Amino acid sequence: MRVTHLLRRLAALAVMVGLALSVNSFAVAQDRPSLNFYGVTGLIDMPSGESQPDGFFSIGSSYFGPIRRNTLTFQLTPRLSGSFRYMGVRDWSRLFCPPDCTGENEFPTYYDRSFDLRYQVLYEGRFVPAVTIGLQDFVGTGLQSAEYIVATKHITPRLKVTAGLGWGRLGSFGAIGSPFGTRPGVGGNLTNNVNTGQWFKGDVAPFGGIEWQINDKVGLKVEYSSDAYTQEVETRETFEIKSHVNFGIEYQRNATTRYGIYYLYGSQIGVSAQFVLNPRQRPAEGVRGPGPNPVQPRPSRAADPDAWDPGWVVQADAKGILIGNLNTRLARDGLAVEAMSYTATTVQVRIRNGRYDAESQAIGRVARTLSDVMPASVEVFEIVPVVNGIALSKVTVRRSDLESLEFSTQAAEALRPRVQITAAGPRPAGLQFAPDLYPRFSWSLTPYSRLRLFDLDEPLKVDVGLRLSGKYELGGGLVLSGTVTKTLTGNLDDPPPDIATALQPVRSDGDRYDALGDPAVERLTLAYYTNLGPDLYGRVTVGYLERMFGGVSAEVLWKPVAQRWALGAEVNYVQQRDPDQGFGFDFYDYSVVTGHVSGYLELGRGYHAQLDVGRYLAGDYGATLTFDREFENGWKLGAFATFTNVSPEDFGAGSFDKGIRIEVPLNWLVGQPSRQSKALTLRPFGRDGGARLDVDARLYETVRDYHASGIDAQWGRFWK
Amino acid sequence: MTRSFLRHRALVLCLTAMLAGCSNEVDVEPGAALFRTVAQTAKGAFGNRDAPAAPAVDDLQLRAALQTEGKPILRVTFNNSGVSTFLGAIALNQGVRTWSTNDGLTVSTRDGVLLATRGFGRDLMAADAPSAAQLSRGTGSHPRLHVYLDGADQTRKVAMTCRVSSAGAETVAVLGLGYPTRHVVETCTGDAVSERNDYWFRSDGHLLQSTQFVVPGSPGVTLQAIVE
Repeated sequence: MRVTHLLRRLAALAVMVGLALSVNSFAVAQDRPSLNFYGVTGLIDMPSGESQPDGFFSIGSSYFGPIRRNTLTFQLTPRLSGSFRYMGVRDWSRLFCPPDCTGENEFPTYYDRSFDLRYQVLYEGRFVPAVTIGLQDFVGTGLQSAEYIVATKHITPRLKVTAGLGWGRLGSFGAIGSPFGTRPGVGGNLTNNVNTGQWFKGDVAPFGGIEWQINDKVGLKVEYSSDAYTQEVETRETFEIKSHVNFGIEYQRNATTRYGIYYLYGSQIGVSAQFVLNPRQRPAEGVRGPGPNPVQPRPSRAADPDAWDPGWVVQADAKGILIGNLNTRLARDGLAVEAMSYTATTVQVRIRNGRYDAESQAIGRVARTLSDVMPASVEVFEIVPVVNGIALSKVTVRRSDLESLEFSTQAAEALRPRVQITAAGPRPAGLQFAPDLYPRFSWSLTPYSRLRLFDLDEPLKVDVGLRLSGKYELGGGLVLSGTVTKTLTGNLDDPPPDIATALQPVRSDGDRYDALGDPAVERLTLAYYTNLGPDLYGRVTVGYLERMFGGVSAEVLWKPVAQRWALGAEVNYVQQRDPDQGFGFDFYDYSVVTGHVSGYLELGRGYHAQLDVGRYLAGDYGATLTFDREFENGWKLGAFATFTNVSPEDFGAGSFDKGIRIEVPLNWLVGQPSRQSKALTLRPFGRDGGARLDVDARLYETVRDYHASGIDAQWGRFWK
Repeated sequence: MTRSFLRHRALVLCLTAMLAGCSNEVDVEPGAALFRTVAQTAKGAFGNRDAPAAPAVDDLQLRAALQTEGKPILRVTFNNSGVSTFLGAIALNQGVRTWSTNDGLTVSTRDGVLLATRGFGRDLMAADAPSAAQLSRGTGSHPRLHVYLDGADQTRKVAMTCRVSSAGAETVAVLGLGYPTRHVVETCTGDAVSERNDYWFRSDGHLLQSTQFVVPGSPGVTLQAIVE
């Protein structure tokens, strides 16, 4: 039970979330429903019929007796939410080990992961309660499995009543029958799958409770629990149940944070902490940074006919002077003009944006700066964003629109229909490159942390160290880059015992890489990016592509600029690297041809789907389906599942690869413009089947950002 | 030699600033950007910050020095911190003047009435506001519309209805000089918004000083015309 190295960013994310939570500036309605001990909307140990506001991200942490649970919940749509939980039961094997220390009894504390899905069937109305159907632990080991239908109705604005019916775990006490037949057993710890056969089967029991929010700060909860804690109490005696009525008092510290203290099951004191984040609300409010160069309006043609004289266009050194003037003014914004061509009325600039997360802001700033620098006869500004040498689109802005709309309260919505976003097209005649931009060297030295969750020995292991990154851009789409890490301290140097795997350990040996890679060459690659044709982009990357594999990776992407879909193909020939992450490939003597055909689709309203079909690192064939919800400001939350021709037995725990991923833009956290983000992928079971190569800078995300939908998502920032 | 020494020094600084991370380019590592911003703010990021309660004679010297700049100068005081800074005129578009600090914080005004800010974080993106002439009449009512970007960078408009009233004659001191003024108050209400702007007009009708809100619920800025 190990996880992939992708988890290493969790610590950084946790620190950032902590930072975000420490800033008390989120506008969250006080009547937002609170969370229960499972970290989902609910009472104390029981769920309720309500949901969190759309898009909210919540973290629930709770403890009572031997039980602790930590849960991430994301409200995927107004009705649908998903949760990922990590829980532990202390004293798990106290009764059994010694003498029997095998199987589940091997561990003094039992750790388990689970996924929940909840769907709100009805919104609360005047007479209708809020009704939610929930599937708890629906792909996990089954210990936490339960299904429920639950209704909540406000009696007064501050008093609400909840009643529900539970199956599985939530039907284990006070059952009133089994309307849908007996509940089949789960197949044991290692062959769990989606437990559809169990759903709503077996005993059903009622549960319910009352919540009274006395004032904006303090709330009381009382509930009747239908959970008998069969394993924890009856089989393993980890605690004692004397009553099924639980009490709690909760304190709303601020809009993001709520604490509670409880008396549960007639014998236990419990505590909980609940945090909520609204991705649409930046902790630091707006994005700071210097203001733009303002629009410099032209004198009227009548007032100053000389200024409008197109004769400048034949001046021999004009391009160099204009590029220099632009880049002097844009330097403060982290922007640069890479190349320029013009006629007397139209200018095209090819720009590099190293700073602004909002592509529209980079384009807007270049446009305004052009109004300062270009002679008056130039009316049309063609701005072509370039990333790694590839031109991604052409944004055409009329100078007179900038002049007339700069201070309009309709500036954003009035300008957009007058702007065209089209394919970048071929290089125009007379394109002159800025002389001093390439080669360009950049480096950074940052702390890093590498985290391992769900280790058999300990739930959390961590290494802390330094990461040195360097990038040498040769120009023309050639980029040499590398990353080296050195551990300073931590406890990842002691890997857990290997679990036998039927597959090449392409990911499950990640712990070995953690332990032996100090210092480690994480990546060292030479990449080449190019426009292969209209709407067609290409990438070739050679070298040490990721921690565990090196080789060559080639990708093509077809993405028409105005379309909400794209098609791509990638093929890689890679060898597994030595675990010390030096330059060798000797330890495993394993090479594989892996690659995928990928389809990408924007579903609208920020929902994205991706389907990858192909061959994975362990040589298995299959497909990965990914759904993401993306907020305009760059927050992304998504889920993926990979099904390959590896049998569940060969795959091991989890049966197939699946997980959730979260990406938080750094600008959201620090309030400074930045194109960086922190990403985290959580897998309940990181195994070797369905594993994809983790090559840097795949084309789709890069290209899409500068196409119509990527620019439009934050169009308002054109004027910022 | 010097260059390599400087590079070493950068490395040492990096190692000591490890929590923030560092880079030769701000854009590579935003942690470094944050660190730099904090350092700059500590040094006085807003340019020529005033010593509090400076003697009048120094104000006059400062005024004389600013007049030699040869461009209009506006003084902006951030009412929440009391920090004050001078902004020079950098653009004039359709009667709207944009003023900037040395490091690019800008405000835009029409005859002294605030229409936009940039670099404040939560900026006033644009405003439909009354003209200074309209306000100087000291009576009447008008609509006001403010445009902001929310946390997801979507446009949010705040519509208000405002009333103008006269608060009588006052003498106002601006950078060492006293002026007789008429004090005019604009009170605005909208959906969950209640704000107040104060304007002090000189006898020639020019707006000398004003206190105007930028974002609802925050203290706003005081603008003083120093060089016109």
